[in-house]
Amino acid sequence: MSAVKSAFNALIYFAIISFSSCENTPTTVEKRQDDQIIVSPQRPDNFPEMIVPDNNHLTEARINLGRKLFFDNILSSDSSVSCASCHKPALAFSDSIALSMGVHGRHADRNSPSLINAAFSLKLMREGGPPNLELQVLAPLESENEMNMPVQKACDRLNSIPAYKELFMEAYQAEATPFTLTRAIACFERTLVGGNSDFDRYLAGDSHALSDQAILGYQLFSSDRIGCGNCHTGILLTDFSFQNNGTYAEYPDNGRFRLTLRDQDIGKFKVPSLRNVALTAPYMFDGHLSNLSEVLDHYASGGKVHINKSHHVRELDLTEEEKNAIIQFLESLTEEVSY
Amino acid sequence: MPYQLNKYLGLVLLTILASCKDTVPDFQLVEVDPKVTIHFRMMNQGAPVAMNKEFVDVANFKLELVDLAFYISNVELRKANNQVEQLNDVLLVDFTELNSEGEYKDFTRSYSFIIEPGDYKSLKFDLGLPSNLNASDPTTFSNDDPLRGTEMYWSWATKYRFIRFGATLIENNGEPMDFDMQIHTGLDTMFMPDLVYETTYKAMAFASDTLFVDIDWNKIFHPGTEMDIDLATKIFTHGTETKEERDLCFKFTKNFADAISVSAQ
Repeated sequence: MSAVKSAFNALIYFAIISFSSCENTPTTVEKRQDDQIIVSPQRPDNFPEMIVPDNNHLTEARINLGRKLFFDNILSSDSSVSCASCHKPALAFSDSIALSMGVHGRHADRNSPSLINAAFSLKLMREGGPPNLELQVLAPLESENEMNMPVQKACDRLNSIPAYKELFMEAYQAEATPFTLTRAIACFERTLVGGNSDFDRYLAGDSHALSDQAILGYQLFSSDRIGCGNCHTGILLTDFSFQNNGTYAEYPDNGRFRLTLRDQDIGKFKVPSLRNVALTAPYMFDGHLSNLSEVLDHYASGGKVHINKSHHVRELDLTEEEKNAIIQFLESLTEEVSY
Repeated sequence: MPYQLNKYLGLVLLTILASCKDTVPDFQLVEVDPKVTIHFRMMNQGAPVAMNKEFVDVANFKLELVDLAFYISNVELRKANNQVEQLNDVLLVDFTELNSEGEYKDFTRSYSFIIEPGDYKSLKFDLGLPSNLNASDPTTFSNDDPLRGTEMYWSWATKYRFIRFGATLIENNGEPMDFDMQIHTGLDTMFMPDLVYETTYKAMAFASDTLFVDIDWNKIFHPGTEMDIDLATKIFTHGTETKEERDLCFKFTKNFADAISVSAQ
């Protein structure tokens, strides 16, 4: 039995055992001196541990404030877009266009990723700069092509609104500051946790949760021959590594190189989780592939020649039936998240 | 080397040792450690460059400096006997700071420190921030901390810019250019540690001394070697997009460090 298959089977075994004890309701764990109730982030037991910074425990007040901020256009310089403009709840908190529209009709530099389960990622954004959700908030907020809002200016704007001042005081006993603003949105994002897809139900022992086609697709997905599971592995279907998947021979965006400035990182981007992938079209860092069929065609072609291309991306002999089966499996990864 | 007696620090501190029994106070002379003020200046052919004022460099580019801010860290004065006087962990030298009238300050940006008396031989600092400081969260600092704020921060990378530089190119040898050049450097790989600039001076009690840290514009761009940077190519880079931009920013950073000299006055 191959290493990949063994790893996947072990994962399934672990998931089946642990899924029965999944708890998706925030649990009260502590009452602070300021009477705020700290809640534990909801997390299926077979998901990784969620790291919550010591200086940003989740409370209902913080989550509510973060939610309000997330959906409020006030955080963009021309008050035209909010976080939710590019991270739409109905699309697994992603967007349906290649490059989302920011202020003044400008376009973001990259395709908008899903935020569901982002709290489990140790490195955020495509090249892996921000180490946590708190700092990641600054990136779209201050990007000229996205919200174009210096964080201090955003705070000044929020502090001029009595209702927001009150919410910040309730949540953090302080007014809006770069610290409290970023913390509040991160608190809300930590509530965007899935774990209830058909695939999860299948892993939990419900053999009817997946169609025969989807089960075949799952087997193909995790097989050595197709090898998707080499990178899209684990319960979150990503190993969080950075890979060049042969999208281009000459990359218009050098990906992780931007951060490390190392030649060997040119064209490498973070391997995304495939949870909710059916909702997050278009695909790849620049959204140039319209649907899952095109994505599979890309991988079956072996990708473009590039010195940094992952050795896992190689030409595949993939039939239409197999392709459809894999797509059915991918569609079974859709989760429902309340927010 | 001339020493000025600082009229403020040079005041003799009188300690009144009064007691219930003694109505006549005793006086004790307390030695006051010397003060050193470090002035940072951009220089062109021996003259300081002011923000937003036209000047012509040695390669006949007419231009204006419109933006300059940079971090230095682990700033130390080193004594002739190799003792180290720590001055500061991090300094943000920001030429875009405005005065109370909303205008640019004069040619220099100055920082003062109280140091031990002694013979000093060099000023040492790192250009940029070491990786632990470069990974700081700018939202967690107090208002007066140089790591506070996001003007020097690349939020996409969660790292600080080390040098933020901008100039308007007006003419090249009389030919109009009208281009706003920009060079922003940063990321851990651009960090240049342990830059040591020789300068000898004696710091004496009560004295207030001045060190000038001069950055020679022409040594940054026209050192007359293979390290020349051609301003005619209309540079606009953050050094992070391509190998060519990265290499240019390495060259700029190296030249910037080499263009610095320190003198005591």
